[in-house]
Amino acid sequence: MKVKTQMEGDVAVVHVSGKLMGGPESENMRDEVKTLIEDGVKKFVINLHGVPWINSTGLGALMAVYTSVQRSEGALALCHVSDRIQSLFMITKLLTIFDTHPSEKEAVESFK
Amino acid sequence: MPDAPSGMEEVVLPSDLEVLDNIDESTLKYSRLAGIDNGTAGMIAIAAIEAVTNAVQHGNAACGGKEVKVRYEWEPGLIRITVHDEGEGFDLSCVLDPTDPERCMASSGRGIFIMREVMDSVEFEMSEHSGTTVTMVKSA
Repeated sequence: MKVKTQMEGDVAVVHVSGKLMGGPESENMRDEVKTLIEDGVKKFVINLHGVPWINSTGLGALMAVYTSVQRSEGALALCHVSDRIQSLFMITKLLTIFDTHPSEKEAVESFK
Repeated sequence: MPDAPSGMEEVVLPSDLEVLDNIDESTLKYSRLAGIDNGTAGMIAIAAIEAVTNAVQHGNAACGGKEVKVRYEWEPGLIRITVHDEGEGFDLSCVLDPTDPERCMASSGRGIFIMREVMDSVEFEMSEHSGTTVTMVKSA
């Protein structure tokens, strides 16, 4: 799994690609967000464009990121969520937890 | 669906999360052979991925050297997926509803719930000596 961050103003856009399915690689995303929180970033967009599917462990990694951001009194939005991931959110009733947007632009603008 | 063939395929895979791509592709392939639509096939693949994730992480306890056996059986309008690990099983009564407001923020505990929500039936057979087998069935 690859994680790459770019700043759009005060919003950190974290691009995730590859397999989000648990194991050591899933720690990359959590570590990246944790470091950004320590640097004072409050607004996050996780761009899942490169993630076709996740399992429940990957879902857990997203929940851990969400919890970290919430604890720092920040906000998190997701974008480019595939149909299969969207279905998983629906089944697990996490659609009400995650703020999802079709595009990165809309996700970034949701903080304005 | 009347033209969809029947068949069976069994694979023995190393107990490693890296096999999940293989599980995804195979489940989509055999679900489509059963004449199941793409949207439903994608959901069945999610359930199969969860079953194998459980087998690798919990059943085989992430122990290298162990294996996961996956059998696909399909017929017109129906697929049956059986996943066998070498673990000692678990207490099903300990599987809680992850959509309960008190547990919805948890970072784990959703795998079996997802399997049950997606598939028509999910049955576990556990043995301390011969491992755990989960059998899941989905109709079109």
